[in-house]
Amino acid sequence: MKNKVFLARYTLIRMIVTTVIFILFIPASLALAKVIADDYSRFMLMQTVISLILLIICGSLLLVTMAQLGIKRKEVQAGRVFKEIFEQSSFGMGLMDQRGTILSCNIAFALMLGYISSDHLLHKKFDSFLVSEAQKREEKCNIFFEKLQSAWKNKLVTSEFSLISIDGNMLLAEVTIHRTLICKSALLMFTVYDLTERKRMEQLKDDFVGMVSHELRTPLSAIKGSIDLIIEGVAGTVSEEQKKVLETGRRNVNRLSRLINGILDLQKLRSEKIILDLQNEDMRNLIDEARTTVLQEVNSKQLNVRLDIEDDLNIIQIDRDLIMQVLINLLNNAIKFTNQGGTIGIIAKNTSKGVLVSVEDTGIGIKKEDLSRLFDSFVQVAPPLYRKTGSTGLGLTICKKIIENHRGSIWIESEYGKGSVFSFELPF
Amino acid sequence: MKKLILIIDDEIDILTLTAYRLKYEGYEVITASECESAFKLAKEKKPDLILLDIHLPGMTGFELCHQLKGDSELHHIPVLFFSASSVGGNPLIKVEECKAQGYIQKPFEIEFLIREITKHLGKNNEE
Repeated sequence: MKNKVFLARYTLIRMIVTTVIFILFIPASLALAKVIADDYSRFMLMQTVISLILLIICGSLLLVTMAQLGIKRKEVQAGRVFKEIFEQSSFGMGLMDQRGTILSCNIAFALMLGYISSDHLLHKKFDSFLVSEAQKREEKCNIFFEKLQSAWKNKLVTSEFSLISIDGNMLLAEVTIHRTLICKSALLMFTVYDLTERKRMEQLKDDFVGMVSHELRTPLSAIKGSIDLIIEGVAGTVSEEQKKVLETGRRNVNRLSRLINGILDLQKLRSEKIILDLQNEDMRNLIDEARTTVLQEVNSKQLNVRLDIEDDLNIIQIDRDLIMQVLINLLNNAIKFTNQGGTIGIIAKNTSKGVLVSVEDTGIGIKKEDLSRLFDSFVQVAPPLYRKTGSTGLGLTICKKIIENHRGSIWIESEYGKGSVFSFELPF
Repeated sequence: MKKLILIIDDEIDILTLTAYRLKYEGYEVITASECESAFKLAKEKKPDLILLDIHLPGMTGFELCHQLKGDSELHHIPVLFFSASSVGGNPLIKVEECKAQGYIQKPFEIEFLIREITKHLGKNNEE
């Protein structure tokens, strides 16, 4: 506000001074021209030239003043816009110094902590709102100060903290801190996003999926148990014809069971709760184990297996069970979609980022238009004949999530009718 | 002498089917559908193995397992959980915490169930 008044006064004074100079210099130019010129025509010429020069000088001064005024006005407007964004943001935002003292904040941050005005938070310490179990509070504060120091070294830091409001409500917040320069002073800018509701909804979703899967699996167990008892002749003699019909029932119960397990796996992988059990591993060992697992299927279809594994593969940090799940899934797909006597291959080599593994086949291949949706949930692009084993359409989606959780990437190259190559790269 | 298995599950259909199948495999089977009577039955009959569901009325299977493992007469009896549950993260961690011997996910392959039981009881009718 003070700046605005100063600016208006400053501009007004400049304009008055310019006008006065212009008015005063008309008689002055007359006098000057009279002194310089000795006859009337030269006097008129000189007067015109001097008047024009003065006019140009004063006009330029006026134009510069007007332009500066425009720039200042734009700056004021931009400042007003940013102030409005700051004030109206639903994210908590503010500035603090290196020690975590709040110097400025918006109303959203104040409301999160139960204050009706942002002024009430000025000069309070951010860490005074951190909350944790009594014995862990100090530990939490230390983590917070570590984050502050990282931010002070120009690193953008984001972390989750539990905060407590003045009325005792707990909120889980994602706090982002980064260093910024305001009026030539280095400060820490923070944004706070209230995760409480999102976490509550995630918990509700987890509980719901858990409950539904339990309620589905229980009757499924009874159906499966009953069918097994009949097929295996435990409950009396069954004809071959009856067995055949019951096998269809059993196959589909197993399929439904796999589907439920797949949905649960996917949900776990998508949630942030999954903790990878990372260990140093040599992919060669995993490939050997995966090959042994699928050996029976390979032999029953009389497939050739081509191995091309680089010596001294890089050791990478992976969750062994999850990567094994990916390998077996890709190998099973390769086996399923390759006709009798075909070839499947496993290639593993070092890359600058880590290790690249490919599973290739000489199978039916995938049409170009289907490639982009292959990793989507519940997508099955194979012809019906090849789906007889009862796929769930979740296998590749799960593989993709597992690889992404390892910060890796997975992709496919395929030629319809000739075969496919599924590759994934895992970083160190 | 036949090995005695106590099955505890509040789902009567599962209870009946599993008991039926295990009897067919040559085991002697007793059943309970809630924790209090299950504990009493265990104290009375001292089974060779307990198959225990997780979601039970009154208390959870984990709580019952703690009680069984804390009892001087019953602590040695192998407990295998079998459940359709997926609530509460990885059940294997809780299974380990309450010193149970294993976890079987429902619906299960009967061969898998028999294999797990055999691991702890040896081949049926073996002394």
